[in-house]
Amino acid sequence: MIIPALPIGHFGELAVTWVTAHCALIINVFGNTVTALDSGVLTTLTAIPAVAAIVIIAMLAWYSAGTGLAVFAALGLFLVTNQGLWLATMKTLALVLTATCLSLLVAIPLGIAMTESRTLRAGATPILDFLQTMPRFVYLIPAVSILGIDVAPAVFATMTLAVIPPTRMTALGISAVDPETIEAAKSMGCSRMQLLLKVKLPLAIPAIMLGVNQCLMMSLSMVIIASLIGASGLGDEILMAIAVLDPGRGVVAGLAVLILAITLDRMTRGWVSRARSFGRLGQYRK
Amino acid sequence: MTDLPTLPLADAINAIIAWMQFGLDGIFGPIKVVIEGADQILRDCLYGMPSYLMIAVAAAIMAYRRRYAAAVGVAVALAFIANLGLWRAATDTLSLVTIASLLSILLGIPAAVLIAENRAAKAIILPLLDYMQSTPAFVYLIPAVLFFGIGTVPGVIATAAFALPPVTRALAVGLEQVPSAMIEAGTAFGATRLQLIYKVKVPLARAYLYAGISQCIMMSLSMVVICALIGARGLGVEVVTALTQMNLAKGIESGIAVVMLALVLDTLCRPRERREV
Repeated sequence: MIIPALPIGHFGELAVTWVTAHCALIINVFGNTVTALDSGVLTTLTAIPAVAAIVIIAMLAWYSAGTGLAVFAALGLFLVTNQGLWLATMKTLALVLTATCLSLLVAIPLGIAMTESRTLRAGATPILDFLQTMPRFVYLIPAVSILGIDVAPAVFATMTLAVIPPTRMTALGISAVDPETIEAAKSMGCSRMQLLLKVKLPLAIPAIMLGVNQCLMMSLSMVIIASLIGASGLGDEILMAIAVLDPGRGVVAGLAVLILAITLDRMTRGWVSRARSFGRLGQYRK
Repeated sequence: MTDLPTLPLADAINAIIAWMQFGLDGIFGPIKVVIEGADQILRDCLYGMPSYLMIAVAAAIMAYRRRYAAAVGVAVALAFIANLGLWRAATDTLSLVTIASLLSILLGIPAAVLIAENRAAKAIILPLLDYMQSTPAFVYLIPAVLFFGIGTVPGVIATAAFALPPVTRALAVGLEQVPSAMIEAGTAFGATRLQLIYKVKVPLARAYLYAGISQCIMMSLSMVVICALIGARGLGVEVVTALTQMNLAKGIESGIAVVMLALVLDTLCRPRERREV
């Protein structure tokens, strides 16, 4: 082309260099928090024997989504244990849980702020769109150059994506609250804070739950990819299997991911439908 | 459970794969040839067109639809890709996305019709789609590599499989929402079951189909990038190379190129609002 290539990438590089140089404190705190959280979750998950853990997970599955899922989860996880992938699965689960919790901590307040401030909403929506369309691998690069190779960059890269759906769903859920309900609450003399905490948020819970579900699934899919930068677990098993050309092992590890994904997905979807029926009762069905 | 010997699952799978690679070559071989050929032809056509011509065509399409702002946006986005020096890679990606989306649409339409027409098929296909949608993208790569080796073809197959659920679901929902009066009218005029499907139901569910297709294209694009890991051409290769070299500038640039391409495809493929229905 006649126009010289625009130095977009160079600007990004400069920004990341600046962040690495000037935000060392924040980076360290983040890194240490993530590492501590992850190892805490992992220790808890592996402290009990696999059989006990499977029973607990199956009971949770039964409570959230019924007998079918409980049987599926129990059988699936037994198979995973039998294949010697229990530890890898728990490592992945610990990463997913850590990333999901941290993402939700960012996403829900951000989603609320987006509904309270029009400017923020107008500014944040295109940025979220952009971040979501950006290929996932791209996030791994700044993650490594800021945080090195460890659990922390994997969680960071995962969060950059997993934050988006719950933010959107929270904003959507709150702005979809019936204006009549809001008017009623206002005429009863609700303050802005009360309106948010006692009316809007409870009514938005089904949408937020759906956001939690999407956040969890996104985290899982990204954690697997983040094995490229040192997140150990099932993704690592898949990569190893590809590297040593042992497709059987890769398929088994993929199966383990699938079992984990379906269990987590159905469990959280169970929460969504539960929250929905709760929401209906709360509104005293017409 | 710990005393149970490890089931030889991995070995069994390896044995099955080894058998399939020879035994089923008659099936996978032709598929591979067809997809490779289609990709080759499409790429040759796209390479043959200079970038400014393609930019002009894309802008002209939007201008023809009287969406002038979108026409300018599409042209700027494409010019930006060219400016980043990623035109050729973007063309490769475009070719892969086109073929993969066509494949998922070709498979998705009959699957959706089956879901809408047959209870048993619905009971089988819907949960299957559910499972497919909760499978992380990375996992799709494994079977694709198993059956088709490494390269562009497994990339197309994995992408098509990944993008299949949204089209199927959207059309199935659309087919179920065709007003029964229309179906009755069709039957009254003596339409056979097939005629009823292809001349009444599918045309009436068109809006849903288009929505499914535009979602399918977006998902294909995101998957094509991941498929670079198993040797698919295009912008994904740029992103993965940037990752292995830890070259942030290159990563951001190729990432932005993907975003721009997504923007253009979304604008071009999104159905005209309302008027179509």
